[in-house]
Amino acid sequence: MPKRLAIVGWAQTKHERRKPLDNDWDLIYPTVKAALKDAGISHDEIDVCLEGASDYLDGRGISNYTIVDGLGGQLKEEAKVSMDAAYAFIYAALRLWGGPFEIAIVSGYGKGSEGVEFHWQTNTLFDPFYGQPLGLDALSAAGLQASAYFHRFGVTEEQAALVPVKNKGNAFRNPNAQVRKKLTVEQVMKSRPLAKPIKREDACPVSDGAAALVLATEERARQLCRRTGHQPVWLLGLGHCQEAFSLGARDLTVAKAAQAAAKRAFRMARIKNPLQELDVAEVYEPFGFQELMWYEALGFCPPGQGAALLEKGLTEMGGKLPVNPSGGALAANPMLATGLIRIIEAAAQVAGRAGPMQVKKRVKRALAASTNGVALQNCAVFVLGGS
Amino acid sequence: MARKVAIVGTGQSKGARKRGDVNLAGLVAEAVKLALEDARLDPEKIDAVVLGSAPEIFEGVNYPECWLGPAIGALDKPIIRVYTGGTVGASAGIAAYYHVASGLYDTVLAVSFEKLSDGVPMYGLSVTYDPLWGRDIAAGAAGLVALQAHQYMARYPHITVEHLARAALNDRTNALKNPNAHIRVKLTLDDILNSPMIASPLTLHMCCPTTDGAAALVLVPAAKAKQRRKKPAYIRSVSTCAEGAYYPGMDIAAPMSLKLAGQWAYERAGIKDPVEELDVVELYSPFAPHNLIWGECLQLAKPGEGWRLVDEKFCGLQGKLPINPSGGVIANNPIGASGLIRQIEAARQIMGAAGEFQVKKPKLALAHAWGGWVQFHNLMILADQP
Repeated sequence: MPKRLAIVGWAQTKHERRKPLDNDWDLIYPTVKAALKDAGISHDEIDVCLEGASDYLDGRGISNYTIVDGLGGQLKEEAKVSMDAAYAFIYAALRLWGGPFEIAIVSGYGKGSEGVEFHWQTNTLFDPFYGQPLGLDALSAAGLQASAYFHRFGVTEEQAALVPVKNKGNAFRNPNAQVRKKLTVEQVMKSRPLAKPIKREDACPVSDGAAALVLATEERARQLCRRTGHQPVWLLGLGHCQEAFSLGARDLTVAKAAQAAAKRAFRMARIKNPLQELDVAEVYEPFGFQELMWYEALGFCPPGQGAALLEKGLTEMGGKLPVNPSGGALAANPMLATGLIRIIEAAAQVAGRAGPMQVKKRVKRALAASTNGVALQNCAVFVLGGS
Repeated sequence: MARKVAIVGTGQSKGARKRGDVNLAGLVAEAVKLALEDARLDPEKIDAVVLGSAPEIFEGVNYPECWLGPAIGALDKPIIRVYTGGTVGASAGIAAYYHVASGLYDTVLAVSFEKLSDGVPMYGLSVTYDPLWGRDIAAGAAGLVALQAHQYMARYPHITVEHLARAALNDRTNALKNPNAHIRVKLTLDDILNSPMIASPLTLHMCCPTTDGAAALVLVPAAKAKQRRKKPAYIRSVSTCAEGAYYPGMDIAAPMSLKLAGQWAYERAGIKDPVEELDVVELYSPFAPHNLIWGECLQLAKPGEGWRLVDEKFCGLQGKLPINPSGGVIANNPIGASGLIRQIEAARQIMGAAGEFQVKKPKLALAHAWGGWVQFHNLMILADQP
């Protein structure tokens, strides 16, 4: 068993549709600085700097080139993971476990407002010969997935609409959320169709924002938390996995990569019955129905029963296992920071620092989940815990 | 306690200007197949994969890990993609190292690639410059290195263009023995000096080509390495260091990030006198001046004495400390893979598998990679003993 690691500080921006006055540096530098302050450390104490950033989202090559010092990487051990920053968090943990390091800063930022039109941006995620000419994009792929999922399990659009109703409602308690709405199922159903059966209210927004957290080895974490008076949030388990690329080669109705990631994370965290043992979860759901698929993949319920679980209120704020008290990606989606924000929100619940989002029950174990690629192709699962 | 790690398999495709016979996935699969065969390993035995590639704009497919993961037999496996500019291939090797060292994964594949013929590399590199401040002077990598070389030569006036040409001559001559090298032409010092000017003081033969190629490494815990091959290459230490491109005091002719990376790697490997202790060095030198500049930062010569490193008696195959016996990046440059190929060539020297450019019984080998605005550097030190 590797040495114990804990999250000891974090920060995020307020997420907005457009932050015209902030460039990527303006987004990341104050956020990293705030995370260091939250952890009670200075730049000098950083051993490793890791970030999640993407050239194609930033519209330039080597996107960490001008901002690496703002990320906390000036004359530090550093690497960029070109995926959601939650995967940079994985690499940070591997570095602390396998290297002569004690403290890592992990960050991610998204400036969706600067991107080209969504279709052209995500069309290039597909194979240039067989995928791109069909006009596929991240949205239409999710539409295909939703159709397949609904059809197989007899889930209705109305049932799936309960996810945005819950999450955008939860977002009222989240001071950083971009989208806060008191919705009814009917309003979701009547919102503008995007890619059948996905409608405007089922989909995440385009956001500008950033997030950063500090991860430390056990001894240092205890020392820092004595300094700050915060609770260390232990990383109990993690796992990630990627399934097939071609949509036709996948069973789109099951989040297979999420299942495998969860299996690994739960084995490490010694969790046998997630619904009983977890107290709160934050999952990355770019589209509402995918939260239902997460429930199933994470073992909260059998395949196809996600909607029923939600209808019973189990994942509501006051439920047995609240999911996305922050509002999740439906409330804000600064791409590549979104997964890291799930980890931060879950950590805040464990530390009792989630403010108005804090769930009523005592949080001993929290789960965070992230995804990368199209239609949940690559998934990562994290289990966090208190003392 | 971190686990010790060894390289037990290496594979690289033969460099070429254009590989029209395969797509990107096919090219990558080629290198992976070679590495797995070299390690006598079934693809199913791979526990995790690390992918590295340079700007997606080079090939026009974003999130290439989503496409390539399954194409290399890594279906339903953990995959992450690192991307750190030119260092990326080496960063993939280093990330794979940490996968194994952490104790979480046993058998890890590091893969990197570039199919530069699919895009326009000069354009792709030029969009790395800052959109507001940098694009007016953006001219791929050669523009930057010309600036770097002038700064270096202005600081040390006794260093002449001939010294730079000698560095190119060393690498180009070595490349003649490397079957995987893309550019293999027999040149004289005069040929190099008199070739067309690309960006003063860099002439054509002092510059790297654009290459289609892929590379892969198989890493396992050191304790299990002998199960895979008789002479594994043990990883003694790794280091990565970054600095801000526009940070005040940035010195492109002697980057602090490389000096620090060197100090860290030597310290972690217990090396006190690199020139005496190292037996072979693979530098990431896409342009001739780099052998001198990087060499000084890595304590292979004192500041201003980089000229010592281009003397055949020092850097040649039979020299005191052979530099780039494979011919280096100047002979073969699939950008994203070039850093990993440095690690491969260093590992092959240790394994005694370098073929015609094998150095005599090396015990310690150094692999270096450079990326970004002279700002990202990383190192791996390989040894014949755990």
